[in-house]
Amino acid sequence: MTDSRFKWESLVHTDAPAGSVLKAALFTTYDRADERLLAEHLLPLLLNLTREPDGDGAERQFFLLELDQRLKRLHDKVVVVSSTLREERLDPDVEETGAYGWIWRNIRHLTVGSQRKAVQHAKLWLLHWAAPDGEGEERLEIVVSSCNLTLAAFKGQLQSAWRACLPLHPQRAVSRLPGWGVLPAFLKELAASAGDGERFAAFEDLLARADCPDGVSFVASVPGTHSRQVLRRTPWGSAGLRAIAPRGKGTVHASILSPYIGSWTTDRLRRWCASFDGAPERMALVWIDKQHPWARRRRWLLPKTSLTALLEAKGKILRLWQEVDDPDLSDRFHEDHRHTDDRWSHAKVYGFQRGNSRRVLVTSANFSLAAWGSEAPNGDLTIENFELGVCLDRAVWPFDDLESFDDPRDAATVLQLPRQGAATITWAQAAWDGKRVCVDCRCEAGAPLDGAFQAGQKWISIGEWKAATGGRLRSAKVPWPVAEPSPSTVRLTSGAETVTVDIFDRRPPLERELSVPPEVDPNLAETLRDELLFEQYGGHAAPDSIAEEGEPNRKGRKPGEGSDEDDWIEGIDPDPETDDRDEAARQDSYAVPAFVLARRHLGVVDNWAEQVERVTSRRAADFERAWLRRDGELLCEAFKRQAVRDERRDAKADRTRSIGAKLAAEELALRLKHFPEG
Amino acid sequence: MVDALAADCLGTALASIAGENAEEQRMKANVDVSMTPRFLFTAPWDPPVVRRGDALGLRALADQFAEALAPGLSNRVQDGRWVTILAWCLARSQEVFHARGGRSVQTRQEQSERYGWLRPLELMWVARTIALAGDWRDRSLAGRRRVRPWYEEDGRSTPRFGMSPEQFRAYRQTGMYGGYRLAFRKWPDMTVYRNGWTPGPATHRLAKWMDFKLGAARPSWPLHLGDDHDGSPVKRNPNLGLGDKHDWWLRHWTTFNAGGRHAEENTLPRLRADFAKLPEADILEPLVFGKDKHGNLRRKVALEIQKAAATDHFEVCNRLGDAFHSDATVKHLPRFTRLADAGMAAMDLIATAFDTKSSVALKDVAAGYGAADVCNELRSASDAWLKADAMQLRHVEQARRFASAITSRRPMECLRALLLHHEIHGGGLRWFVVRGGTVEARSRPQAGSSRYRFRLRSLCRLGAQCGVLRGMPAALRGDDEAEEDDMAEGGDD
Repeated sequence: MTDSRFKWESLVHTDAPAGSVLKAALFTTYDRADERLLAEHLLPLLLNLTREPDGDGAERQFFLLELDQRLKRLHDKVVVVSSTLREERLDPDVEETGAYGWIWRNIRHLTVGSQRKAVQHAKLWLLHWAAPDGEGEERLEIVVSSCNLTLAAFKGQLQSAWRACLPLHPQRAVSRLPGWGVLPAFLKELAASAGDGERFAAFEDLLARADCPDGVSFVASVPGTHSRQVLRRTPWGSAGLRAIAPRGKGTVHASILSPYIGSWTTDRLRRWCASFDGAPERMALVWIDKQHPWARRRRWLLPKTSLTALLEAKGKILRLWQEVDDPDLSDRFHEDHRHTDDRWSHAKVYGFQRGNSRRVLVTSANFSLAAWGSEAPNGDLTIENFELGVCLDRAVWPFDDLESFDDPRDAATVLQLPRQGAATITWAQAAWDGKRVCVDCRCEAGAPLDGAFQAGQKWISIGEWKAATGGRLRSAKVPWPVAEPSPSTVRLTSGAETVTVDIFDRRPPLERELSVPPEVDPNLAETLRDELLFEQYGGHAAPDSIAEEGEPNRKGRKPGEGSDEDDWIEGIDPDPETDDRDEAARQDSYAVPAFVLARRHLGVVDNWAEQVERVTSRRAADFERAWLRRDGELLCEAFKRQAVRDERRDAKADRTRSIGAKLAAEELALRLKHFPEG
Repeated sequence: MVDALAADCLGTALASIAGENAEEQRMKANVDVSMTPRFLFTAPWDPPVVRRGDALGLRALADQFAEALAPGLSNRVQDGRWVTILAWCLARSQEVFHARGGRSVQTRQEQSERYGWLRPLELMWVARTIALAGDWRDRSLAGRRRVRPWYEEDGRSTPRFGMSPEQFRAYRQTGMYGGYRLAFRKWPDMTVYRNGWTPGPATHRLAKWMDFKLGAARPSWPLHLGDDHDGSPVKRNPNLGLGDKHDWWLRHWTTFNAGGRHAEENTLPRLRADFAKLPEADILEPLVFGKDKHGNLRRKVALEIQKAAATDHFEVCNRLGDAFHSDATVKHLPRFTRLADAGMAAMDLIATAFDTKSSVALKDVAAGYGAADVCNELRSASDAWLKADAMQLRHVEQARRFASAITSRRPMECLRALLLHHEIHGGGLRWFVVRGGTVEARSRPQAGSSRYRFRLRSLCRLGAQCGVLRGMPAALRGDDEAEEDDMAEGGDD
């Protein structure tokens, strides 16, 4: 059952039961996704990271490695789809920070427009969750909102959203798909426009494993000109409003909250209203006055001509009041909405009422023709954007108490909307398979196109383009057979326009495995990875501080020279006093240091073996088994390296320290030899 | 082939093996919110701020110098009083952790459980300071932006001291213990086996001192007698359940905001500009400046800085370079600090040119006031670095790369080279990038940049508080690198 009133919550949250594990995710956004938002906030939450992006000592290095490793496990299972075009003006708060560009090696970043011009404006998250401890139901979490994947959208804007976390049936059933209305078709269209159907198939399958909640309908727009026939089959854009409008007799009342209003005439308004049995005189637009901060900062935009058209058609304009002298009198979005909250509303909410029957639509669609479509006399509907919304029966419109402007001339308007940029490069993607960097893009036929990709500090020019589809689709393949530096981004330039494309790493898993984020010291990466792996399987917590290989200490000692308080090893500084051997070596302990250390290492092996046993007892766990096997191999190698480290550290002692790690490696090797096959 | 779908449920079990205790998992799930399908408006989101600043990519090398001069310290270890307070927190929370069955702190999960009992005390002490000190804004109080409204406006009713789950989880790093834990791991006898968690003799001494000074604010059961004292909730109800640990502390330390005679002098964190000797200096001094090797080195460096009577940071570094010339690292300090400061001065010059604009022409920056002098100094500093003898320092290539990039004194070329170096080699966020002839703003620091420093302010303030130095050396009084966290904390107050 869906809750009918709007809640007040952060989007940085998940409804999945505690301990659930993310198996795949699809995010759509208008603006290019902000890597910092993903890397420092969303992904740590969704991937259950145990480290923080900021902290003293080795915390950040461990954070980066842990994030990188989790993303490698989800290689190509996290997909982000965005626009390359911009309809609204660029938010000045959007940051390009450059610190986390490497996440795109494993996250598939797609743009729409491979077939024709398209704007990706929908904001959809589909999260596939495995059950905690592998027991119970898997889940599909769906978020449909007005929120782009940028820090500015999360921090500086108030958004509307719908969130649901639904149990998944073990098997797909095609019969469930109609229950989702236009959503499966929307995904198919998005896939086609992104030029990558393969990536979306898994998400369509998830819809076939879940039941759409009662009373929920989806309304979507996809770019293109759609005939009446097509719209009868798949009601895109405003054609979809008829299905969600309350049934009955009489005119449907419509209420609109949207920060961006397109260019409307009275005729266009009538046609839009007619699509759901409404009329402009039964229409109300929630708007702000000229003194409102959102108007002064030009966040909310309403062309004067559109306001005139609305008023001429006898539509109403309701005032969202902000009282400067007494902020408590200002209109609020929710009872928990404080006047000190200085975010601006980016929410797009539509209310429909016929008699006592009410519906509310939360969507990405602004009130514009680009979003809803422009209807031709023959009934064809031309839509520019991908949009997606969710409509609920019996939901409560949150702005029932607003009053009309005393004088509509007080409403904030603009003479002209910012002009849309006419992009030359409308779609692009790039991947590296370990041998070649492959770049594909769509740009205007005959337009000049230059390209270069970055590998470390170098920029390598793309010399030759192959053209297809009348010269609009261009592709290039540039040899790049070396692993380091790996190629990171492609910069495409056509005239004054520049588009940056992240390069996806398509190498085989074993080749990808050893790459590290640029901020992680490559000399330390192996040791840090070993420590993380031990920790993951219940070993000692990885130490806080780092000392590195080959570092002469303050007296110029080399590894193994000296053994006083200041002793150190290459790799991680274990803080000698904290490890078991030293604990055991204390006068108040009878423990044998080598045994203590061996017990610790073998405990890691036991934990790994327990996981193997658990997985073996379950059916359909082939992927888990493969992953565990690989972890076992990595642990085996890690123990061998640990033995070497322990030996060096014990250079002057009795060399018993390394016994434990050697035993653990041998034990693992044996267990791997008898690893249960599926 | 290993497939990503293998992430399945195995990861869950691993999360639980590796360190996610039940409370953290519940926190992530955010039990405050409904789980049914629903419409929502987004509540304000105030994420933990990642404050890493390393505009020139020299941080790792700068840390080498810092480690050579002030080992066992970090820039966040600023106030000896916080060491005393945290010692008390560690000792008090250890009793409860122990009563709850906690013994080992070796795995991530065990440490997480242990920290769960400590965190509420850190935050209650922040609240205590806000309650008792009118000038609390001038004291180092991590988390105060959330704790103040929790204490003063919300009647202490909001969960997690008013923090979001994300902020509460990150407090382990951003909080007071996160900043000072190095002291508990590195200084002698602070924690057992230097594990950073189990109080050692030195921590017990500090805790006992603080417990006595707390007076009316002291918890109802005596320190170290949790298991035996009749008034101890630990004794009465050793099975503490799985409830929220912060609720437990709030219920059982109800006098946390009580004042009393000399409460401010003896129990609160010191004002940032207060460099007076602490009343517990006799206990702290042997820990920070003891006879152990690192303590001895810290003392020598602090005294050398005092002797230098320098007027600025560069002079201090010069003096240290001379005094410790036999040290293979420190002897390069003057050249390094000159190079790093010159680079950061040029970065500041560009930042100043932006004012409120989102982009500026590079030629305008280059023609601006002071650009010629700044670039001249940057080139000279680069030359000086490159002419130095071969250095056997880890990360030395960072400085060599930077110095080699600056090939001209002419502001246009010099600034362009600096910007390219910043974009390619800078650590953390980019302040700005150069595109053609235009410099575009990205993530400029809002509270001004911090220079590369070497924990010298921390060292000298502790020296003054422990009575090792006569006072804070003038050259380091205004050196605010160490206050970076607090500035960011207080920025939105």
